[in-house]
Amino acid sequence: MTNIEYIYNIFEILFYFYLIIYTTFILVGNFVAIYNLFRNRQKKILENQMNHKYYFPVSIIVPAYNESQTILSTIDSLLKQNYENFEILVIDDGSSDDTAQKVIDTYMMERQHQPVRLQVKSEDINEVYQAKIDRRTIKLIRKNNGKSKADAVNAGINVSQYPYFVCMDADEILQADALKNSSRKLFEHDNVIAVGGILNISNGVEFENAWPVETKLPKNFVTAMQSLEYTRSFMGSRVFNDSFNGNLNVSGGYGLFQKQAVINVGGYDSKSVGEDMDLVMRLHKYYLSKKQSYKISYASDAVCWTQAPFSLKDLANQRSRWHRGLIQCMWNHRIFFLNPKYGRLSLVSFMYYFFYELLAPFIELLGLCLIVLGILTGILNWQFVLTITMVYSIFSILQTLIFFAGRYLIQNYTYYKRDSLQTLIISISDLFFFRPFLLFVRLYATFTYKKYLHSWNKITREAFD
Amino acid sequence: MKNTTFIYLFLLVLTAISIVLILFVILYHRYTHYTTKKVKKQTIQWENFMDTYMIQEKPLALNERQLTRKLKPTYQLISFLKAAESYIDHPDSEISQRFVSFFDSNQTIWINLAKFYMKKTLIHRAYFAHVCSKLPLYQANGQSELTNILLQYVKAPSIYCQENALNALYNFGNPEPVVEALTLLSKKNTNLHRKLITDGLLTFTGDKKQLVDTLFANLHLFNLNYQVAVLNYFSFQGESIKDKLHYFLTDYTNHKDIICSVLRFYRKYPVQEYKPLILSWTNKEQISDWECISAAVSALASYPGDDTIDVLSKAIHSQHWYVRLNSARSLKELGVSKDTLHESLNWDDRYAVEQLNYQYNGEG
Repeated sequence: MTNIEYIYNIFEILFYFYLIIYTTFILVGNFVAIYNLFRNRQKKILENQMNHKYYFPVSIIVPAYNESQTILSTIDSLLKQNYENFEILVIDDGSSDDTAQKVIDTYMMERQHQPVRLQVKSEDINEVYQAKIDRRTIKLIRKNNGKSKADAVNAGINVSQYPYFVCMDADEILQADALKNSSRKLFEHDNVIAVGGILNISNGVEFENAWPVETKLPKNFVTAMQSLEYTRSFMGSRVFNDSFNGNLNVSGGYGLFQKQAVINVGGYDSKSVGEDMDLVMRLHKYYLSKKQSYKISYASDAVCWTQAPFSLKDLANQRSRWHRGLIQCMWNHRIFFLNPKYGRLSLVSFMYYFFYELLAPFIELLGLCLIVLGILTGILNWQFVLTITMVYSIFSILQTLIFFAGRYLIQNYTYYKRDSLQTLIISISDLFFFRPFLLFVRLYATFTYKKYLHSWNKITREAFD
Repeated sequence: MKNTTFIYLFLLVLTAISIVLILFVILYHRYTHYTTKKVKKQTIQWENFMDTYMIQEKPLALNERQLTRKLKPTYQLISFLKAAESYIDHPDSEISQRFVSFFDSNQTIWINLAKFYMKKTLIHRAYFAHVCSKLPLYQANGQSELTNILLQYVKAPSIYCQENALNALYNFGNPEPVVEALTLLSKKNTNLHRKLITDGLLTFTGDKKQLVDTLFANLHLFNLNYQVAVLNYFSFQGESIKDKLHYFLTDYTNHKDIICSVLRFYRKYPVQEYKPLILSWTNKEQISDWECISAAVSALASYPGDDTIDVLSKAIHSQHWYVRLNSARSLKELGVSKDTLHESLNWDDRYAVEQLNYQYNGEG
């Protein structure tokens, strides 16, 4: 055996090990997720739910920076929430467009002189406007630009009057039952400090009274791929991680939080690029170090519809930003690295993120290079490589199909025949186009981490249907 | 070679499992689709069954044994409940009466079903309890067999089962089993949310005064969580015990949640005699918890007088946000004009003035 063959053997074993752990984790995760989703569905059918007339009062915080295009649809969807007790706080983070004026004019808001209790750090608040629509209070908070969503949400926390708050984006439609379904988790156990929900792609979806009426997969290839990716992620790994309180992230797109818990950790960190993940990791750290019982829960039936980038350029910008945020977060919270003190949160969730999110681009690239080299030098049998690639591809496509089928099982959406074929085509192209594309985006994000960490490229938005 | 064969086989096995998983999802989807149709069909059958008895006043087509057997499958129970829903609170009192008497005269069915569901999984057990909480299975007179079985349901290790069984007991209208169930849960330190308990107690269908008195008599049996939940319930229905709760305020070592709850009670049901006691909670040195002071200044909105205004005018300068907020609200509720406050207030305190202006301008 030559030295090169010897090195190849070592790499081969390492890659198999990597692949075995990955595929097992994915399948076990999906199995647990499907089982839990199945149980939830049964619970729903049997009406074993906390359908109470009492509602936890919730402040919905909508940070907006130049969101004139979508802000009104978002507020309208919030006003149609099937929930009794909530207020809406739109935080205009120093927009240069007419976001604030649009809101003031549409809802005929009046200026208020509300004293604001500063509980977490944020830029100065300049004005507070208020209106009452169908017994609901809507407030518009105009503040100096804080250069981050985190700062805007912190301002919202300071102005909010209720003990729970929802953090979402200004380009989303909150499904009419989302607030009710997520707040139900607060009844299940009084140690619940945060509840995440499902994010679905809204591109191409039609809404009526904050309910999706047409849920076909988007025709745009880029958004359709993201739609399936979101389904896989939110219905798979999040549900699985929830089974051991191991979710490291409550998506910034939709999350319900106990206000005091967030205040306890100092609110959102405006220097953090992945402010949502950073907050959740600080919450974990705070409660684990204090040895206080807590739960960061996940409601698979709380659905929020968000706009996805529909061009590859926008997608690359968004994903680069997310990856830089991930690197920053993992570095800032490196205390979780292989730390038995934090149990499964460290050994399963954090390590998964480390190997299969953070290092994945490098490992995958190295793997690709070695395979090509191995075939060229004759060390690797190309027929075997092809067979393994095919089997792995089928396995991977099946994982997408599991959750594609799950969409109809869990969320009860109308089934469109065209979607099945589209899903199959997308699952295949996902492997050979989308993932390699994201691989290079993430590599680029890693190499340009320092240079572009705090840069923000605005993604093109379109008005909702 | 061994490695390669292993990884190949391994991936094949995982692929096979994935296919099984997909098949399961698809089959389950088809199954739920089929059962939805089945439930619709069965609901129509039960509606016809009830129409015959309730409206056409014909004798029941099925005897107790047959009814029990028919209602055993969970989907039949779902259909039955759906069909029965239109008769619950029916506007025609005669039909409504016949509906209630149907359940009165067929108690054995529900006892047998309760025993049957006792052996089923928690999720099905919880559903049966949910059905009991919806139908007029009133058991106000004495402790019935059905009540005893539902008390067993309360012990189940599932929050849904506990919650639904409790709801059923509230619906039965007998205070004794309600207290027994709460005592059971309290002793087991079951973490039932306070709001669920308070909210549930409000749905009690029997004699509410009797429930309040029974709960009050047994308050010492509950742990803090349950005590606070029950005290919160008193704030809605506790008129009859307003002369009995003040002793909680005399002990400064009581937990702040209890004190706050009782102070809120005396805001809703003011007893002028206890005003000095409430006032004492606004300035005691022993009080380290601002929550109690905040609740006390809020309660003072129901106790007009110069001494109240005096205390509130001082409290508005408190370092605690909620004390300032509640003081301003109480002053406004008491109808104290800004002119009256002019002398007693320190107008250099910007926080106090902002809060007052905000409340008095009707923006709060």
